[in-house]
Amino acid sequence: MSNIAQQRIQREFREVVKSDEVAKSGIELALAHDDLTELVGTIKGPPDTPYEGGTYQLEIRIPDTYPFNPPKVRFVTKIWHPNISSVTGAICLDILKDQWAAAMTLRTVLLSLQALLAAPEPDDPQDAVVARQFSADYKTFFKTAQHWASVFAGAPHEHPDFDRLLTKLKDMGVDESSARVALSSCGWDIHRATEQLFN
Amino acid sequence: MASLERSTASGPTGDRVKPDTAAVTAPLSPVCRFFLAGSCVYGDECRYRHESWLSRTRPDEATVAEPHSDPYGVPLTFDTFAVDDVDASQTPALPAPIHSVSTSSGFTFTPDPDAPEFVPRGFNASCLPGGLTAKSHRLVPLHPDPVVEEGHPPVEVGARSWAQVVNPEAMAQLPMADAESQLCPFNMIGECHYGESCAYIHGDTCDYCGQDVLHPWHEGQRRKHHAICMQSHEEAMEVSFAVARSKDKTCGICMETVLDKNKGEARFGILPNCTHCFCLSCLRTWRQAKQFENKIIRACPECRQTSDFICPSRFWVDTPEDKDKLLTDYRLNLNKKECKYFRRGRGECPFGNKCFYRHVDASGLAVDVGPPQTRTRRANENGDITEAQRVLMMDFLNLRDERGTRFLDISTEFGQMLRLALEVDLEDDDDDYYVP
Repeated sequence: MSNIAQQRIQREFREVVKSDEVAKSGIELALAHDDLTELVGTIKGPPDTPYEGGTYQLEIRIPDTYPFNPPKVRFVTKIWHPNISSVTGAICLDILKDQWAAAMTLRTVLLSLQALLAAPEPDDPQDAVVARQFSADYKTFFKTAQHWASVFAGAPHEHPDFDRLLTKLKDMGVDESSARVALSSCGWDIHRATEQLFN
Repeated sequence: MASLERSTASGPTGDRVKPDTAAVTAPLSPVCRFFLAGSCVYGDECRYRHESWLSRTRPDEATVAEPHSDPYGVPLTFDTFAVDDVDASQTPALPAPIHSVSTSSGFTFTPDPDAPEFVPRGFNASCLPGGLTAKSHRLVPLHPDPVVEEGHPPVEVGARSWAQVVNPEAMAQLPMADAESQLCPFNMIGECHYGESCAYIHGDTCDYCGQDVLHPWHEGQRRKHHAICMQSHEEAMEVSFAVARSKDKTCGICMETVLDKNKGEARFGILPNCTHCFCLSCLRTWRQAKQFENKIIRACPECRQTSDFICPSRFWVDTPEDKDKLLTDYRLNLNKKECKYFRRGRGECPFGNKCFYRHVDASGLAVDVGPPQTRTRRANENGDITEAQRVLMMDFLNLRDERGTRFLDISTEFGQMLRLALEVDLEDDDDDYYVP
């Protein structure tokens, strides 16, 4: 790891840990290893979104050429969002790709990700299924995202009808996560979900 | 005297030329080779300069040495001098007239006293015919360098009268250079071993610089030294202000305090179009990044304001005026250097006349190469962005012709058909232009 990257990460780390403003906006940063190449970011789901109340973990990898190249960030916590893969957690955000600027910091990246949760961009999707649902049936999208937030990110939302459908599929011998993915992508239509699962 | 004026006029260009080429480029036109060989048929009509090697090496001397056989054929006039009214009696310490001047080749010339144009610097009023003694026109050559050679020193310190030494009024009239040369150089920088018995004057101590450099009687010298001291004091103040305003500035990329970095890296990179602060090395690395589009890397990493160039600076600039001055100075400095791409016309500069460096041809004359070429980028079959090569119409036509003939040779039958078609086309063209 180059000298400049190491020193900058140290500074940024201190900045995020110390700052009150950062704590208020609900972002955190922790070291995954001592060598500063890998960090763990945590962001709170922004208010008035299906992610409200949830806590999301992010894996941040610092490239050797940081800050001239963006950090590699992905969601560890599963999330139902048009710009984040529901399978891998990969993020589609321009500043993490070709719109990166060397003066951006981990703090700005985390804040941008929080803003992304509040304002999805379905025209530039990472997860096509979620994006289609977001545009076609926003209500279902909202409820599904809330369900995912409660299951994976600890948000206090309850959707007993979804739970019932899940139990039904589980009784048919399908494991829970596959059942959830199938139901979510089929708009909680159990017939289409079973069709998808058993074909 | 024309050369005096010429060399003055070509001063700005001459300054920018390297010393080895100065002799060729400083005058307006090249020297006539035939004249040098002694056989120019054009004589005075020649468009090149008729000038000997001797006068080319030291133009000021040569002019004095040949005052009325002017090598340029330009009649000598009083226009080449600045004329000011000076009371001759007020210049008692002027050096004695120079009646002979030697050139670098050791050849001595004694000017004709009847020549009215020849007025060397440091002349005496008695030199002029007509007895203009009390009040005369003093002619001051425009050329600043004294024409005096070492072999003929002007009459100076030794010629002072006792009255001049004891009378400060008269001392005030002593030329500045003479007044300065009277001061003991050892005493100026420290201690003189001769002490009181020193033949030179030990000056008064300057309040600003603390050195004994003030001439005891010469008011002009004292004032001049004070002015210099004040100026350097102001400059030092400016530098300390600059350091003060730069010392807490951190680079937006490496986040370090710029002035605390290693000696070679403690420089600011100033973006002309925004006020964000970066160190030069970080900003350069960012702008050379290959993984992003040009638009991204040419923009400020903080505010994305595009800047076409960056300016290195030892200090941070706060005010727009300071910044303007810095950028102007930077561009002026770059313009003194020759463009590495253009290479005196042998190369091609991608920046065209937008280049900050100097474009000169082999003879040192400035060249306008026109606007920069537009660079075309296109994706190759792998989707990578590459720079399109410049395609000349000529190359394309040659290639087409080549292909065309080969094509005609290979398939003669079709070739004939094609030729026929071409002929028909030509005839059609003729018809188009036919006017009944």
